[in-house]
Amino acid sequence: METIVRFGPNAQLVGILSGTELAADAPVLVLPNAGLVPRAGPFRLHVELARRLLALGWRTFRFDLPGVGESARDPGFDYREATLAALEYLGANLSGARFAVGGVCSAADLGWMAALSNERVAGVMMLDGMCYAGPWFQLARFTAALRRDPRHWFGIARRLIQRKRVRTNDRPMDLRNWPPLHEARVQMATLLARGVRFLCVYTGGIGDYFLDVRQFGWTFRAAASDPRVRLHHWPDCDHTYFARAHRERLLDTVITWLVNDVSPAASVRAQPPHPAVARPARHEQVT
Amino acid sequence: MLADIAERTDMARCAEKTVDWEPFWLGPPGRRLYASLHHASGRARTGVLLAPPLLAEQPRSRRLMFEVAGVLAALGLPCLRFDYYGTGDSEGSGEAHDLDAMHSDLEFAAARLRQQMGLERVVLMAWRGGALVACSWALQHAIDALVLCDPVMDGSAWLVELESADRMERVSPGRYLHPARLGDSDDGQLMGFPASAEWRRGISSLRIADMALQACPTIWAVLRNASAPPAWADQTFALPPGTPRFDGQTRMDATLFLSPQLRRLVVELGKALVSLEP
Repeated sequence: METIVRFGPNAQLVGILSGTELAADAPVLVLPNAGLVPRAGPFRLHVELARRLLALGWRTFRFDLPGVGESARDPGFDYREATLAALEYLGANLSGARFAVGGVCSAADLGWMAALSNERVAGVMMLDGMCYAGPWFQLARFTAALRRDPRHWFGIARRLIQRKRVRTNDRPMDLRNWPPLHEARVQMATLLARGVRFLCVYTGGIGDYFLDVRQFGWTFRAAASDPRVRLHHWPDCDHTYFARAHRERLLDTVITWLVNDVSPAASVRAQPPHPAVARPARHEQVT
Repeated sequence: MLADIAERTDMARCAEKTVDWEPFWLGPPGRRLYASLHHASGRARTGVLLAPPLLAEQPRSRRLMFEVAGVLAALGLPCLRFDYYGTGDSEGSGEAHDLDAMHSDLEFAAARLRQQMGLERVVLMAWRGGALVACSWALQHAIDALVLCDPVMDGSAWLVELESADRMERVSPGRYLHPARLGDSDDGQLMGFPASAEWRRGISSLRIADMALQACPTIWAVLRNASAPPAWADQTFALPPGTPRFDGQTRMDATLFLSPQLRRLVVELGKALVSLEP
């Protein structure tokens, strides 16, 4: 059963909590909006997740951030504060519950931020989340350019040089407010030391900042091959999982991760890291 | 551009602050619809039921529906919004979303609006594909006025357009890094949402021109091109030039907002609806 929840300062935010019949300490997957997509999720992904997870003893809480869907446009607090307000509401009403937070795109970034701010966050779901460009991205762009007609090479080279001048921090997605690279590395290490689990999925829909799975190892160094980090690179999928088959793959992957890695009873199984990040030190040599 | 955005924000903010709204579940357990009632201040005689667009146009226009409801409520017209069964936050799977189900949804919603607010009159304001559904439902149910906003005129032609757009989307280089690898169009989806054979059959059987004259004694049209008003419309309003198309952008995050120009039109519509009260 699902319940409509109004929360946050002056109850200006709205969300849907599933699993009212579950015990108070049942874990909760918290799903902020993916960009401007209403809280039901891209192609109703969040609703589908809620229904499947309920059978496995997981709650979900999907909610609208300020100005998205049905939430007030300017309630006096931002996305970060709204996400923390959601966790505060859940923490106060569901004693003992642990949380996983995240989603597609900006929701992944909010999951990261929430984990840094709230110790009850035990899992971060990063679907096309943070990752920095670095040399592997540039190499992938270069090789892709070489595969094009030689008549385009001059224009491509000019654009690459112009972008290189503008982009000095390997942060292609400045709009997403990521921390500087060195801070991101420290934050990742801090969260892993606390025992936080990560699911990191990168699709082919983010070609403006992710083209090569080795970028992950370059970005997060040794943390990238930590057993608490699950990494997937799905270049055949788009950013919002338009195709049903892609959504099914994502649903299976998320549910498996939540049950095996994040559930209170879960212990991280010995599983080899993604082959591309198995030896992060080697990637460091490239920098 | 920035001034435009700022003005839009201010107007929407005013609309949000002047009225309160209340989300709730509508219908029996197992078939509950997510709905929201935007309250009007004072004693209202007329209420508006908003029927949203269909498939991918529905989530894209959710914010717009929210803002339109706020403006109408601020004018004294309580407004009920809802998600069709099997869509949005409502119960049910997308496979169960078809014409019969949508007719039941309208029935629940119209009854609730009348009962809860003690209204004398209910206006059904339907958008895009929702206009086809609303018109066909109104053939069997008493409604005081129908307002069809940017309606899909011919369900059969629209289905052909949707299927063509869906095929293109599945191999779109704007969406896929390797589009040629994708090609499974036999998954029962249309523009990313389930569209059962029943849904397709129901929608393709509907044409506004065949239904409108019998559907309701008062029927208004809100059109992109109002220079040649349809014979079935008692009154025609023109969408402001530049109003984004509901079907013009396939990205899920291309949300529609209430522009200042569109807000003026909604205010005009609302005042005209109030003036219909005897």
